[in-house]
Amino acid sequence: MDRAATGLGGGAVDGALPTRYAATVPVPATRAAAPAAAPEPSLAERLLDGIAEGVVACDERGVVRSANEVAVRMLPGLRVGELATVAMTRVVGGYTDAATRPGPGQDVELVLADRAVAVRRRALSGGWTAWHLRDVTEERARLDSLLAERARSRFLAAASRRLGLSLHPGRTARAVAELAADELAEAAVVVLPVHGGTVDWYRCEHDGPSSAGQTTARTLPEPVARALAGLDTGPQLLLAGELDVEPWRHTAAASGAALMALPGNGKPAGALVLLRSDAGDPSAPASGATDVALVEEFAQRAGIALAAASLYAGQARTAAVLKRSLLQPELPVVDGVTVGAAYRPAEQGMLIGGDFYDVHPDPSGRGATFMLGDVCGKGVDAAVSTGQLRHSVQALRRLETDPVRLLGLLNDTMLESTADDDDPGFATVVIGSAVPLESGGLRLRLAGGGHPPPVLVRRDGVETVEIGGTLVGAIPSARFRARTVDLAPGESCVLYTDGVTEARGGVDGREEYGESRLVDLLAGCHVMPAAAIAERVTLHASRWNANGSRDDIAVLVVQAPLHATPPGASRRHLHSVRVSEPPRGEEGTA
Amino acid sequence: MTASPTLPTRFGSVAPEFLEALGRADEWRACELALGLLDDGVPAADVLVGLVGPAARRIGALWESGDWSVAQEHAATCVNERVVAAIGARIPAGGARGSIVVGCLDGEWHALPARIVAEVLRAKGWAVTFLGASVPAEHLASYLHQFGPDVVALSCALPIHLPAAHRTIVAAQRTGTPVLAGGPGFGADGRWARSLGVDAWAPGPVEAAALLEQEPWRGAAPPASTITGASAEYVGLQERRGALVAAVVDALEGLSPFAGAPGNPLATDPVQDAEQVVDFLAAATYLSDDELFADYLRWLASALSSRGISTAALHTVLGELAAGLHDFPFALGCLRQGREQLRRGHTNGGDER
Repeated sequence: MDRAATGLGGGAVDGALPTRYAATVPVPATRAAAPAAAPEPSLAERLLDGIAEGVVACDERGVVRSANEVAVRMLPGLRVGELATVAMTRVVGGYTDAATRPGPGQDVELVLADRAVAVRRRALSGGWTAWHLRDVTEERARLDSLLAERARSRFLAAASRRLGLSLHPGRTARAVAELAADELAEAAVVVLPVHGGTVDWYRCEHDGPSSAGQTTARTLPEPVARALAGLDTGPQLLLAGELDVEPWRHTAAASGAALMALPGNGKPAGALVLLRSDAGDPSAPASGATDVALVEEFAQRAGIALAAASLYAGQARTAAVLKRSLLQPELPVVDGVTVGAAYRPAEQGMLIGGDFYDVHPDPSGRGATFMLGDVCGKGVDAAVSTGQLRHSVQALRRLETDPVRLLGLLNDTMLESTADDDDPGFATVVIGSAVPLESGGLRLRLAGGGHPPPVLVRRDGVETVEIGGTLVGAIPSARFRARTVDLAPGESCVLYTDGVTEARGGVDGREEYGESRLVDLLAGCHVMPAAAIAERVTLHASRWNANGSRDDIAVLVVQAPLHATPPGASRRHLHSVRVSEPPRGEEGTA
Repeated sequence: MTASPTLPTRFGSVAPEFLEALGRADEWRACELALGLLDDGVPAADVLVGLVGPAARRIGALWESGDWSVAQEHAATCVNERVVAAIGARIPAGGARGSIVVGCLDGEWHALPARIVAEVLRAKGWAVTFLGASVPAEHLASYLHQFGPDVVALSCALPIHLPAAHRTIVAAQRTGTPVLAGGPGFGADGRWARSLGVDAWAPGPVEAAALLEQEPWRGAAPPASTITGASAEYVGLQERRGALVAAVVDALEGLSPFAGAPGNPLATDPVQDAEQVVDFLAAATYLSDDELFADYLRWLASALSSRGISTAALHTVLGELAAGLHDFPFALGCLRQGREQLRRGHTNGGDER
């Protein structure tokens, strides 16, 4: 170190300090006699020179009066005898008020060309100030790399958390684009694999809006198409000229782009394009190497999430198609008969279960055949049985319209279709026919097989219809019976499954809802539309069953219309409760 | 939106006849009146918000005041829903703005407000799927995974469902879908929606539509909920629920706490009515908000007094619950405050709701 230049060039302004060495012992003016009392002044100087900390003393006017060897090494250009502000301007290359203001202040950190120095200032008596300098270059570097590593881990952890949320391919792709745009690029584009000649893309700007769209596979830039095909999956730089159309369009901030495939199951689950300002720049900072590692790590996670989402979407699509035939049917509009239904399966994630209902208008256009039942079991297995049973009835009713004989045929069909070594899949069913009467009412013929008795909601009270009969599909010699009842306009017949009457609740949670509660509930309901009655029953049974496991619940209400339909008017629009249904024409339903 | 100055008078002339048609459960006439407005060029969203919505609130008020029977209220609501469906059938399929799923929280059976929101949003150009009343959390989650909508809008009419609502909200957010909450069940100012950490709250369909237009709805982390899970006191209350209900029913000798003259629509079943009081207390405990229980009692006291039913039985219920919850400090606080409130309530009649 240039000892002479720094040390000797200064000299004690007030003559109180020795100036023989570059570094001198700072002594407050008030204790000027102290060094003289020391046996050998150079001892203190040598002692200070030997410590790892830099020490500088300034007087009350801000003039550097002393600096030890380490201090001079740390702040080359610091001269004893100079104003500290002037010296520091030269050292740091700018005015650093915090470090050089006279008097004590907070610790500051000076960032020099190749090192970082921490300065702690301490007041000495007489207005003098001591600076204690510590070289924190390595400490700082370690801390910086630690923080950077932490930021990377935090980003990857946040990415994993967010990517793990959705199982929907589109939402997952959007999350990938948003995460990448927030941390890795000025803008990010995610392209999903080619499907039917087109690709879905999701783009997101850094801190900006996101967009999505579809483009034909033919218009994909060659490298992107190759990455999606799994031919060239590694990270690669793209030329700006290749990306001049949506969704790759550049902004002023992004001058280049990087592309990489997102690894999936066997083939890429998508491709990620990062539009960046530094991409393609060979003089990119040294952190570029770890950056690539980070992008690759992120791409791995994004790929796993997208692959899982696409797998789930495929399975869900299959399940939905299979499930469609097992869903409860849309109720048809029947001339002269009002029907309403409600359904609540036990397994909540699904819309299917072991209860079922169906309404078929008579070919004549007046009246209908209806049924409601419950196959043994719950969940998917039971739902499949209900599908078979419903299809059987639909086919058999073409041969036989009488409900009792229809049940007999159904019983035989179910017994025959059960393999010998299989458990018999029996069911309880009510099948009925409704025929409008001239008087405006409705004549019902109800046939039952071991099912809870239907309830009639009449103008003057509520009554149950005991039908009896054995289970359907259990034994060959099953006997079924029928009852005929008439409904006046506005009166209803309520069919329900045992999920209603056997709902468990009450004080101890084990009390059954029971038939009498149902009868009480329906008292005075003859003014209500069929659908409202069905909903009311389902609602109360579900509420009763607030805790614990529940059974499937199905309710079907057949009602004699209270208000005659105005002639010539289509009632169609009154029943189209499907929100997605487009408006229909006014031609009738016949 | 309702810029046309003729709108209020137009609704004013139709509304009484519309309500009358609902009261007769005359689906045909009600639809004719509502669709007639559409034919006159009134936007569908305005008919829903200006005619159907107010009619639904009026129906609730008529039931509460005892002017309409439960059956009549149910019938009118059912017909009103049919009207919404009929109006919905006239709204062209939208979808340009994005997709929204609308549904009611688990246990919430008041589907009409949510259905109105669904149709209003559809009229504003959103692709809307309406999942109906009481959507179980599992069902909602699997639906969201399958169809990946931009937003899920959840409606709650009664705060009693808030503990279950929390499960549904968390389940929806765990699919990465932002949640928009609405309905009076989240509090008049939406404060319980905020405690449960929803992404946004809107008091009504018009506000929901406006909110959806301005919010970027970029799927960042949802706001932190102040309620992270069931407190020990809530769990304890749930465990003791059966015993508490039994004690209340016993103390009232098998009568409902709201029992009065026959045909009183407030009283349904002694057990269920007792459960309602306990569940409101549980919801207040879950949200650590004694105002929730106080609000409920205020409404109850006013509904009882408008029918000339004494609050003495309710007072007994609160006392019985306090005896059974002597080691539950928060619930006890609610009950003490409630009894105090009932005592004072004799002098000033409630005007809530």
